[in-house]
Amino acid sequence: MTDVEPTRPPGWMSSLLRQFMIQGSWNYRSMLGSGFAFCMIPLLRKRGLSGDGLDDAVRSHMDTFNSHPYLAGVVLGAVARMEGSGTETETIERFKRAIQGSLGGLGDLLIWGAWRPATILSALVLAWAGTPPWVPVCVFLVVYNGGHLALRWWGYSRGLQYGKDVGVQLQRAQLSRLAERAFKGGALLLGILLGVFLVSLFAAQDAGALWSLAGIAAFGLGLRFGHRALRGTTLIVVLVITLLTALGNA
Amino acid sequence: MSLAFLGGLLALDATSVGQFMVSRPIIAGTLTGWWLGDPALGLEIGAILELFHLAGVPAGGSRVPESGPASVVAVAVAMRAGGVAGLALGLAAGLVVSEIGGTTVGLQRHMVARFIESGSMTARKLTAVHLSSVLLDFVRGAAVTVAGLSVAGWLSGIFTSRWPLPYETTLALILVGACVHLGALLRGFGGLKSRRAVFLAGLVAGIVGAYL
Repeated sequence: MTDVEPTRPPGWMSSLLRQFMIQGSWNYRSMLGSGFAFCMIPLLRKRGLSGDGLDDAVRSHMDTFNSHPYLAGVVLGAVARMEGSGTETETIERFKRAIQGSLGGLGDLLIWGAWRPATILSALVLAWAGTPPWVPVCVFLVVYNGGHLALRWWGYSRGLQYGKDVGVQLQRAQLSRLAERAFKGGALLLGILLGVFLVSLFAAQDAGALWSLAGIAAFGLGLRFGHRALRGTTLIVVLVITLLTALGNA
Repeated sequence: MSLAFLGGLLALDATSVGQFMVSRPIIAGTLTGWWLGDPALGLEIGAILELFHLAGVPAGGSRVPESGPASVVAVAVAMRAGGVAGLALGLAAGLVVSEIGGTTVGLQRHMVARFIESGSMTARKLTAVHLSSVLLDFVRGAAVTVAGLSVAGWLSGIFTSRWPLPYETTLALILVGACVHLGALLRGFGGLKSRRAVFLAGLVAGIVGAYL
């Protein structure tokens, strides 16, 4: 049976606010490790640690750690709970190592892969529909950050509440199902945007039908090669603009 | 100087502080447009630049183009060049600065790793290193913005009058490039097979809506 502790430890709010800077010292050695330790400092101080004791505790959290930044609070909350209940350092380290990979993958899928592009697509559709500039800006910032802040709060509070058993809560939440819905919404918006683009290409003054066909072929290229095609496309667009400028009207 | 400050703030939002996505091109571009007095142009350039960043996923600390300072440069160049040349040159400047910005992010991360490795860490030292890294990110973003504005602004001043294509053809050229990124994004959403119904429904709605 899961032992649920509803109270929050002293320093939890300060640690929550620091989580908005958890990637401040992201680096190729410890990745989020130093940021994680930075966010733990208020919790450790409020537990009465100071001087060498505090420094030792901080160093114990400095190892390599990586996760999606919005979901790092799950681990922070759980570790705060575990330390408060006297769990051994080795057990905490094992827990961090075990959960970080799945949190990273889940966050990349849900946020970077689904939620962010879907909400940006909604802003792009609004922009192409000719709405005033503040409309797509506000719609994106409010909708995207509504999900962002809710996820941060949910993850941290679940971590604080369930400690080492937070993994069960993550499974129950079925966040991948949310990602699936965002994928579907994103695909719908993507279709709308592509449809608008194809009509725009068709309406081009010179060879409209050819431009539309080129657009469809380019879309197929992206669909076939995925991320491998992105950098090359960027390079080609820059080169074409450069060449046209160099060879253009003197 | 004010644009450098804006570029620095937007660089912070991308990774170090908040990640509220104010640094996305469609937002950063519009903000820059407001800052310079033409939000509609800012939105247009930002939205076009966004199409070229949309499919990128910064998974596991992989290097991705940096969009915040690049959006500032793109909009500033587009405003300076003006007209259809501004659209093309602004986009090219934005794409180049994005790549350079992404490279400087990688260099910064190596530098911070050296700070972290140097000596035994204490709570006080960690706090200092962490906050210094945030400050370094701001300075880096501001420097990328200034460098981009200087070089791209100078080049656009020389080449603006040489742009040969009318607006519709220029936009068509850019949209064809953007379609590659949209295709890659659909692949990221699960591919055509698994999203066929919703994607085609959207496509039809988009075509009908555009004609109406």
